[in-house]
Amino acid sequence: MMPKGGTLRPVFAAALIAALLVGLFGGYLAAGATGGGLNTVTVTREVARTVELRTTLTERLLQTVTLTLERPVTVTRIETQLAEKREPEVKHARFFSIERGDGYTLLRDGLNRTVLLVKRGQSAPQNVKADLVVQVPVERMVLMSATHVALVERLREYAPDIWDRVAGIMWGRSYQWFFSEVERRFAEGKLVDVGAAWSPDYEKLIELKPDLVMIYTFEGDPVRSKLEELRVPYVVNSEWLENTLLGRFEWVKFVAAFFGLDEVGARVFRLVELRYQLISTRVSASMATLNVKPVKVAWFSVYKGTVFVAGGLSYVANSIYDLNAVYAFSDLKATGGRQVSLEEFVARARDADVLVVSTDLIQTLEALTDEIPQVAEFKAVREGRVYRFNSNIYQLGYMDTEGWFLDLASMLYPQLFPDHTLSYFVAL
Amino acid sequence: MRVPFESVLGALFGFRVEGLAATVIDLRLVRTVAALVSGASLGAAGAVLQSLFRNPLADPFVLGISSGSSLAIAATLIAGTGLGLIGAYDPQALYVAGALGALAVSLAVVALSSVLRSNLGLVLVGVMLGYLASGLTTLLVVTSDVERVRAFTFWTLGTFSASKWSVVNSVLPIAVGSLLASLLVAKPLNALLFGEDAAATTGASVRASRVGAVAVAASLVSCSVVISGPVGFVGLAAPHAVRILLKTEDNRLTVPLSALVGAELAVLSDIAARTLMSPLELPVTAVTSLFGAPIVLALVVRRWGFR
Repeated sequence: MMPKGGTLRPVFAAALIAALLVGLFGGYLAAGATGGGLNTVTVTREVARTVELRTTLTERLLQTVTLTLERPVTVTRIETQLAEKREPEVKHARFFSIERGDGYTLLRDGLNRTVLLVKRGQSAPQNVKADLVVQVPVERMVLMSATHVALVERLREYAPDIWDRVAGIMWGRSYQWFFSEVERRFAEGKLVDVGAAWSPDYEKLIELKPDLVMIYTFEGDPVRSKLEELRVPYVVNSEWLENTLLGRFEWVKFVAAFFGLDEVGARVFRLVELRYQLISTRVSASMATLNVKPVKVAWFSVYKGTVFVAGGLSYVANSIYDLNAVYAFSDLKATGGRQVSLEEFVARARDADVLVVSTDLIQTLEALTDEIPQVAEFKAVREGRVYRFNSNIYQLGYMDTEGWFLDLASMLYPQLFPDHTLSYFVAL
Repeated sequence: MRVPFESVLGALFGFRVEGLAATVIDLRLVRTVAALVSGASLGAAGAVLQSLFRNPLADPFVLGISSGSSLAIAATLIAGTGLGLIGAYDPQALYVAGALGALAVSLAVVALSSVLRSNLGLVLVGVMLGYLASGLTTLLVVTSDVERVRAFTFWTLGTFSASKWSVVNSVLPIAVGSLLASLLVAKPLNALLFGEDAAATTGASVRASRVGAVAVAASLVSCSVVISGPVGFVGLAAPHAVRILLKTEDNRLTVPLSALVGAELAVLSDIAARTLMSPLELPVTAVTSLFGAPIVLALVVRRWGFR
């Protein structure tokens, strides 16, 4: 027995150790797989949230992680990690991006061209390739559209002399300006009209010696190719192609970057985003508590019986969805406008709660019923819920995007915003 | 939108159809009538003008009538609203302006047709009036704001989608009268086929036939322009289709049959425009060409073949 036992004992001990090891390892693996996995999820979420709340891009995070094990033992450990994740600086807009490097900013404009922004007086970094290098802040910018003007005007609150850096505006004297500052500067000759946006006065443009021209463009646009030929530096603003209201307004960051106002642009946008979200939240919360039904909206313009509606993927439609409302042409897969047949319009819009005529030319219900006699029978007309654009909407309504959204919210749910007066829409 | 067949039949035979179906049927009916009238007018006018000018490429808009109509609309929409003469945007005023513009150019063309010696001169005058009007229109458009220009663009595009009973009903008697009158000018036009000198030897009053033909054509084109704006291709292609099919130049046949074919082409194109990509609607001017050009090409090949 003894010798037998003597040989068995080490084997037994080895087996026991092996079993213990396997058990420990397996247990460790199992714990790691479940607990660790869960834990990772929590941490990631926590990290993401922390980053979102701060404005700095990269920072060291001190994370407290609590692990609860099977046994009622709580182990607390402190973990330090470098959060390499960067918050994308552009969140809503789809047609531009911003990338920051050491001493430079790299933008992608509406045509996906890379635009390197270098502080005036500094040299461009050698290792960064770009289609265009711009010294910021610009000194003699030329703008093509009233929407560009609106964004500059919005930034003026934080940079009172911003217009000193703009030399000209296309169609500058053809617009009816709702920005008194712009009008004043035209009167004083500090701003120059550079001609029609589709065919600028190139001689005058060159005479202005612009260091940057901000344009919008489209397939086969003659202006862009001409600027290319004349070697006039230009960037493309595609705000009008965005499919959300916030996406359209986020271009304020793009515009701000050229004036060296990156921080201001980010702050202004943050504010607008927050107000937008507040309005949206307020509507959905009130609807739940006050038992308000979602409304149906039709958004259109009509000239000589030709009906144009906003597409179901447009910024208009998305704003309507963000207010928990139904859009009559939500199945129209388009981010822009589309022509629909009159009968389709009548079929879909007749039971809409709210009609929005997306023009400021049609100013009376008579003009509307002259265009579409059937409208007289529409629910929205019977209930007096027809609105049109106010002429200031293209300028002020874009500058004050959150106000535009609040107007829309109050048109859809007047009971939730009893004291609100419309700024950019007018009841017919 | 889908409407049950029996509702359509019921509505056409005067039974009451309730609600949305009735509205939709009414909408389709008015644009179909508009397409019929406009297409017939363009077809007949095209036949008359091609025969009068002995030019196979003459189309109803060669007289400059649609340009005159556009100019009047542009002036009303842009200058009128700018000066505060009429309300901000008044579709009825625009219809009236369009009709007056067409009428003014028609009268001018008819007067000139009586004074001018040659038909070539008449064509050139029509074309020049057209250029003059479109030049002025461009000037007006350039100096006005974007939204007005957009509205104006729609007002000068040919479409049946816009049709309203109020407009169709007031134009209908004139159009029918002009179509009947076109039958009367067919025979004198035949005499002109071999040239004005030859016609004179037959004892026909060349001048009277020419003025009559221009008046009828101008009236037809004006009706069409008021109802639907300038719908292209129909007036050019319908007479050719008829001549190729019937192998005749006899205006007593080609004029009325061109009206029929024109009406047909317009209605088919309109149906295609609103159904091919529903709920989207295609511009009818694009469809008339896309639809009509292959048909005319096929007829040409069948008639004359290849060498």
